[in-house]
Amino acid sequence: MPAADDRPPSAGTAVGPGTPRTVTAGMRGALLDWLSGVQGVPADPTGSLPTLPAVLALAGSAGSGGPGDLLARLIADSPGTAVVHGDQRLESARAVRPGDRLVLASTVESTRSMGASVLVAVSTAVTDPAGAPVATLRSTFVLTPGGLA
Amino acid sequence: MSPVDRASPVAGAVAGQELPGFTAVLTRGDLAAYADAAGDHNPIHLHDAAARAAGLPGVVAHGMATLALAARLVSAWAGPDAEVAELRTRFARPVVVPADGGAEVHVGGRVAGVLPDGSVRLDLSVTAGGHAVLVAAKATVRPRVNASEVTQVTGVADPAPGAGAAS
Repeated sequence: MPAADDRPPSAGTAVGPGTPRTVTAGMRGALLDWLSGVQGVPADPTGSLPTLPAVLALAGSAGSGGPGDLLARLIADSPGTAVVHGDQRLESARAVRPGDRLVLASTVESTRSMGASVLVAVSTAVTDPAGAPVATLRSTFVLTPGGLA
Repeated sequence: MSPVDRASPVAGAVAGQELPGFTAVLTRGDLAAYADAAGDHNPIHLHDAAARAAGLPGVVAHGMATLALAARLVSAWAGPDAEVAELRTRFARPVVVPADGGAEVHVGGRVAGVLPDGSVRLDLSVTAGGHAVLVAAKATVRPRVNASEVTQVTGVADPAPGAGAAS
């Protein structure tokens, strides 16, 4: 990412479609186990995980097409950049199921300088390999070269 | 006619109705477990030194972890006859999790309105230490058309190795 006094990353910067990722029962199970292990969290017999598409997308590594993939490219030239998650919106067309193969593609929708930081809005399309919609994410991140301290 | 069981919470929702809230206690162990489960090992969620270097008072919970708590409130209330169609929030203030004990996170919600198709809009509240953790947190729950799509977690096997499983 350019230094704070350079222009912020351009809107339209895109990554993906990434390599299809398979949702495993183990992946879902780990998140469900986490919820079960936190003191005070009520049980949910349906095993629903509404945040799962966002978790999968945000965890995506290089080549995944997710927001993390995009952010990594944006800050590649600025090691030590602090990344703070601002907003998250998730629209689900359908529940994500074990065995689903998901394809991610992300685009920088807008950027805005905020002093030493840059606010980046990223949209992510989550589809099946045939292109049928599964979920749509809109995430914002505040990037601060050199960290926040 | 809506396929939703008339006894379901979603079918019977009215504006202003409070959802059953809860108080979660997040510990450092929970954060480490979430990091492994979600694949987010950002050191600000695991190590005080890293958190302070980032300008934070100490280790903080993952924003998505707090959103997961809010989502659990919604899905537990909605039951098998409905599914979450939308979740949105601003991560306003991170939850600082002490090394000893845990951080109390209060999760609540209220029915904001019912749409003509039977979907229910919810306003969600997540606070810790007297401060809002999530701001403008909202969810929309829609009636589930095919209740048999509810996934039973137990008994579902992982694909064989090499089948393209995500890391």
